[in-house]
Amino acid sequence: MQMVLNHIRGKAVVFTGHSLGGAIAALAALHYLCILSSSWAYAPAPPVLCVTFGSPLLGNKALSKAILREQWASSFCHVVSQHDVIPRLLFCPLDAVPAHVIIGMQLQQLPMCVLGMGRVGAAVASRMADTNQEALRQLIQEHAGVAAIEQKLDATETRGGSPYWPFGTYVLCSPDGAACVDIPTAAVQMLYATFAARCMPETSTVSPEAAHSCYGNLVQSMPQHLLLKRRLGALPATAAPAVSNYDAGISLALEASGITGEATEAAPARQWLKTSKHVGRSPNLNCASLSIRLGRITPCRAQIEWYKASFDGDTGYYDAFKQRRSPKKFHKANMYRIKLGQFWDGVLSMLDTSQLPHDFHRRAKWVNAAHFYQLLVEPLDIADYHRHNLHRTRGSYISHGRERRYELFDKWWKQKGCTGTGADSGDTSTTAAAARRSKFAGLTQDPCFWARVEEARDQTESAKGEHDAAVLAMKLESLREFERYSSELVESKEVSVDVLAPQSSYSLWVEEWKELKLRDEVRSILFQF
Amino acid sequence: MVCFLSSAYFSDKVFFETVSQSANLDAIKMKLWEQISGNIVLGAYNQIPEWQLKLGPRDRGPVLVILDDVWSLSQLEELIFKFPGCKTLVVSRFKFPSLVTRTYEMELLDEEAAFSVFCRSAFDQESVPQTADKKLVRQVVAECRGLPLALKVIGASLRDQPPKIWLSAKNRLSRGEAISDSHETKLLERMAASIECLSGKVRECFLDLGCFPEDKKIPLDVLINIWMEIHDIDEPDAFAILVELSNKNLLTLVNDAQNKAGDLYSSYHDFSVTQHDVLRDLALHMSGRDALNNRKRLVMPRREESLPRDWQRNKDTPFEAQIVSIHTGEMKESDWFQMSFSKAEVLILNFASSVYYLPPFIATMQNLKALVLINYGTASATLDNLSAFTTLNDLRSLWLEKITLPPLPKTTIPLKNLRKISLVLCELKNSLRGSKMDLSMTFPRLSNLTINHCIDLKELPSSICEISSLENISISNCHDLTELPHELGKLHCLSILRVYACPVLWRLPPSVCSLKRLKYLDISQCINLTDLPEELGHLTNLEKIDMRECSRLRSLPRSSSSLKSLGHVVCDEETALLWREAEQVIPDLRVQVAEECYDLDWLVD
Repeated sequence: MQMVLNHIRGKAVVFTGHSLGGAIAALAALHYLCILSSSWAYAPAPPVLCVTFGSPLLGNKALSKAILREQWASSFCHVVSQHDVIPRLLFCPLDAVPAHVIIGMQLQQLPMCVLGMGRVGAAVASRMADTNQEALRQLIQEHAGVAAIEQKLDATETRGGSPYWPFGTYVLCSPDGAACVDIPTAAVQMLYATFAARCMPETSTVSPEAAHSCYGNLVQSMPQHLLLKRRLGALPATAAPAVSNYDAGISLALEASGITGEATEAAPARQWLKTSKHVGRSPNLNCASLSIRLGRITPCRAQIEWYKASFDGDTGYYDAFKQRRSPKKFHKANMYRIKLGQFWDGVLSMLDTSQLPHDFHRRAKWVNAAHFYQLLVEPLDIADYHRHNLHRTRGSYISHGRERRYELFDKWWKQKGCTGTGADSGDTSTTAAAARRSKFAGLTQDPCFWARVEEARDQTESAKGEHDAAVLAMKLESLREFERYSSELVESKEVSVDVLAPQSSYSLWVEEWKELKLRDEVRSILFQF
Repeated sequence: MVCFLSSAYFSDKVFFETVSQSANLDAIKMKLWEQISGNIVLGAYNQIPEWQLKLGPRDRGPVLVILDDVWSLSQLEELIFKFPGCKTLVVSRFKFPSLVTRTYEMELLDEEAAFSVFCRSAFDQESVPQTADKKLVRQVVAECRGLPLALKVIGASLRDQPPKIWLSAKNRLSRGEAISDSHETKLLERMAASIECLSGKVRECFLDLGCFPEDKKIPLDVLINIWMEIHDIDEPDAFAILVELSNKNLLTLVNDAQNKAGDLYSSYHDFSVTQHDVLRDLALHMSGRDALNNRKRLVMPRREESLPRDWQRNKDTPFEAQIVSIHTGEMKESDWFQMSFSKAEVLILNFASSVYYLPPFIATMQNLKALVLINYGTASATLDNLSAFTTLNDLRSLWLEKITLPPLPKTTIPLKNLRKISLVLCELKNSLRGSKMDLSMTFPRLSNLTINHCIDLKELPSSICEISSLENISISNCHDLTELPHELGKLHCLSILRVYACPVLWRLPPSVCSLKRLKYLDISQCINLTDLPEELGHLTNLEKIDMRECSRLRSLPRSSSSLKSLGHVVCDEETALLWREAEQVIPDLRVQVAEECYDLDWLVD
C-alpha cells in the first residue's frame, strides 16, 4: 500500500471500492490526502477523487468536521442505493446488530470477488435474510430514525446511539435516478428518508443482498437517466403550475431519490434536499460580502495601531495592555480586539462549512489581512492570557492557549511565502538577505514573541531561586537559546520598536538576564577556587 | 516653522513641552532630562548628580528645548537646563527679563488674515456675505486687534445677530480699549463683552466653569448636575445652556457631544467639555471681583500643595461661597484647617495622589448638595476621614472618580437624600461584592446609579435590587462584568437600564422582562450577548432599544412583536433584518441603522 502510494505520489488518483472495499478506499484516499497536504503544501495539490459504492459509515462527527475543515469533502462521493442496509447499518449501536448479520455481510463480500463462491455466499445470505430480513430492516429504520431525530433536536451528544457520521457527498440512487446531498446532516436525514419510504409494493420485495449488489446496474442506468427528458410524474394535482424552476428541480431530485410525493417522508426529505442544494448564496457571493465586512472591520485594526503607537515610547502596547494602563484606552482597545477576533472566527466558521471559495486561504488579500491582524492583535491575546494567569493553570500559551485562528493564519502565511518567492530554496535565501531591514519593522514578525518573552521571564525567575546545579544548567541553556533567538530578531530589525520600549517586558528581561548571567559567572569563578 | 528651521542645526534634538499654570514641574523636568540624556531616570529628579546636569548628555550636540505656556518665573527657573549647547525657547504671555535675554514679540494677525479668520467664524466663509454691513464688520474686526482667539470668540458670538447688536458690540469693544497694556487684560475685557450678551443664568453657568482645573476635560455629567443643583434648572434646560455656550465658542464639546448627547435618552457619561485657558481666566477674573468671603465661587485657580494663604487669613469669618473648588496634591489631616461654609452647595475636590484625607470642614457644609471627588493621579486613591459623610443629610449627588471604594460598614447612617451615585474608574474591591447589608436602608432614595469604567466589577451585588427607588441604572465599560443579578426584576420603578460596552456580559437575567416601567434599554456593544430573554414582549412600556454592535445576537425573542410602545430601535445592518417582522406589527416602530464612526479622542487621556 505504502509502495503504491509512493509510486503514485503527485498524480491525480481515483480511489474506488464497494461495500467494505469502499471504506478501505476512503481510508486510503484520506491517507493519500494527508501525505499530499504535508509534503505538497506549496503548490496546488493534484486532484483526488474517491468513489465508494454501498460503503458503511467510516468515522464519527469529529472526522467529518475535520474533513470539511481541510476542504477534502468534495473529494469523496458515496453512492448509496435506496434499499441498501450496509451504508445505514452503523447507525445502529454495535451491540444491537445480531452477529449473524455481520457474518452475512462478510460473506456477501465474496460474490463480488469470487464468482464461484458467490452462489454459496448468496445462498447463506439469502437464508439469513429470509428469516431476519424484516427484523433487520425494522432495526435499521428505527435507529436511523433515532439518529435523524436526535440531530434535529440538536442534541450535543448522541446518547446510546451510534457515533458514526457521514462525510463527503452522498449520491442517493433509486431505479428512477439519483439525488446528491453534500451536507452531513442532510445526508443523515436523506439516508433515513429514502430507506423509510417504501410505499411501492414491488420495492419491498428487494432482498438486502440484491440491494447491496445492484450498483453495477445503477451505474449503467445512470447515463440513461441523463439522456431521458424527464417530467414530474407524481406531481400532486393541487400544486400550482407556476412552480419555480428551483422547486421543480427539488421535486425531480426527490423523485430521483426514490421517494414518491405521497410518502410521509416526502416533506422533510424535500426540506433537507433544499438545505443541501445551496439555498444560501454561492461561495463567491459570500466572499464578496465578506470583503465588505472586512472593509468595515479594518478601522478597528487601525485603532489598535494607534493604541500601539501611543505606548511605543513608554512600556510598549503589550505591557500597557497587560497591566491595563490608562483604563479608558484599555477598554477601547479591548473592545476592538474582541470585535476583530469575532470577525475572524466568523470567517473561519464560514470556511469550515464550505461557504467560501475553496482557494480562499490562498488569496493574497485574505492571507495578508489575516497576517497583519495576527501580528498586531495576537500580542494582546497573549497579554490577556498572562494577565489572567492562564499560563499557570492551563499551560504555556504557545502549546495550550493559542486560538485556532492564529495557527491557521500561520499556516496560510507560510504557504503564501513559499509560493510567492518560487520553489527554489536558494533563491529565497538570497532575496531575504537582500531585503534586510534598515528600520525596525512596523510589527514584530513573530506573533508569539511575547509569549516566549513571558516564558523566559518565568524561567529567569525560577532560575534565580534554583539550587540544583543540573536543573539550573538546563534552565540557563534554554535561556541562552532564547537570548540567541531574540537578539537575532532585534539585530535583523524584525521586531517593532515597542519591544525595545524602556519599560517593556523584554527590556526588563534583558536586565534580569544580565544580572543572572553575572551571578552565574561569579558563582562559577568561586567554584573554581 | 521654528522646529523646521532649527532641525537642520539641532538635528533631532528638539524637545517640546507644554507647561501651563498648574504644571507638575518635577514630572516635566524628569521627562525633559530623560529625553535629552536618552536614559531612563530611576527614582526622583533630585537624585541625579549635579555634575551630570552641568555637563549635559554624553554626545554633545546642540539641544533645543521649547517650553510652551509658561506662567511664572519660578517655573522657568526650574526648567532651564544650563549645560553647554542647550538653548531654551520660552513661549509665554509674560516677559522674564531676568532670565530670558532675547525676547521676540509675537505679531498679531494682519488685517487681511484677521478679516478672513473673523469671517470664517462669523459667517462660515472667507469674505463678508452680501447681506451684512461690510463697514461695520471691518470696524468690529479692527477692534479685535488681530488676536486670533478674540476674533474667533467675538465672531461666533455675533453670528446671525441683527445689525443693532453688531453696533452695540462694536461700541462696547471700542470702549474697552483704554483699560491696560497687557494682552490678557485687553482680551478679558473683550471677552467680557461677549459674556455681557448672555442672559443671567447662562452667564452664571459660564462662570461656574472656572471651578474646574485648567486643561482637563470636564465630565459633562458633573457639569450638568452642578448646574441643575445650583441654578434650579432641569436637565433639558441645562443642556440647552451647554449648547448655547458651545455655539458661542465659550467652551468646546468633545466627541460631537451636541448631536450624540442631545437625544432624549442618551447619557452624558461618554462626553466631556474643555475650555480654553483664556476663557477660564475670564471666568475666574469675573467671579473674583468680590471680597474673598463674599464670593459666590471660592476657587483655587491652579493646583497648589496646600490651601491658599488668604483663605487661611480669612478662616475665622464664615464664607458665603456656594461652590467651593479645591485643587491639590496629596492631603493629610494636618494640611486642612477649619473653615465655615454654611452656604456651600457644591464641593469639588480635585487631587492627584493615592491617599486622600477628606476635609474636616465638610461637617460645616449643612447644605451640601453635590460632592465631586476627582483623582487625576495614575492609581486609584483610598479615602480617609470617611466619618465626614455622616453629617451630609442634604447630599443629593455623589461623583467619585478613580477612587478605591471603601468597604461599606455594617451600620451606616443613611444618606437620606442621596439621589445619584456615579462611580467612574473606581476600584470596587470587595466593597459591594458579597455585602449582606441592606443597601436600601443606607440609600433610601437613590434613583440614579452609574458605574463606568470600573475594571474589577465582576457582578453586581443582588442587594442593589432591594433599592426599590432606583429609576436609572447605567453600567458601562466594565470589562469583567459577566452577569446582572437575577433579582433585577424587583426594581419596579426602573425606567432606564443601560448596560453597554460590557464585552463579556453573556445574557440578561430573564427577570428584566418584569420591569413594567422600563422605557429605555441600552445594550449596545455587548458583543458577547447571544440572545435576549424570551419574555421581552412583556415590557409594554419600552420605548427605545439601543442595540448597536451586538454582533452575536442572531435572533430576537418571538414575543418582541408585542412591544406595543416601542418607537425606536437603533441597531446595525444585520440586526435590522431581525426587526423586520416586528416592524410590520408595531405601527410606530422606526428601525434606525446606526453608522459606526471612529475617532481618536480616546487616545487622549
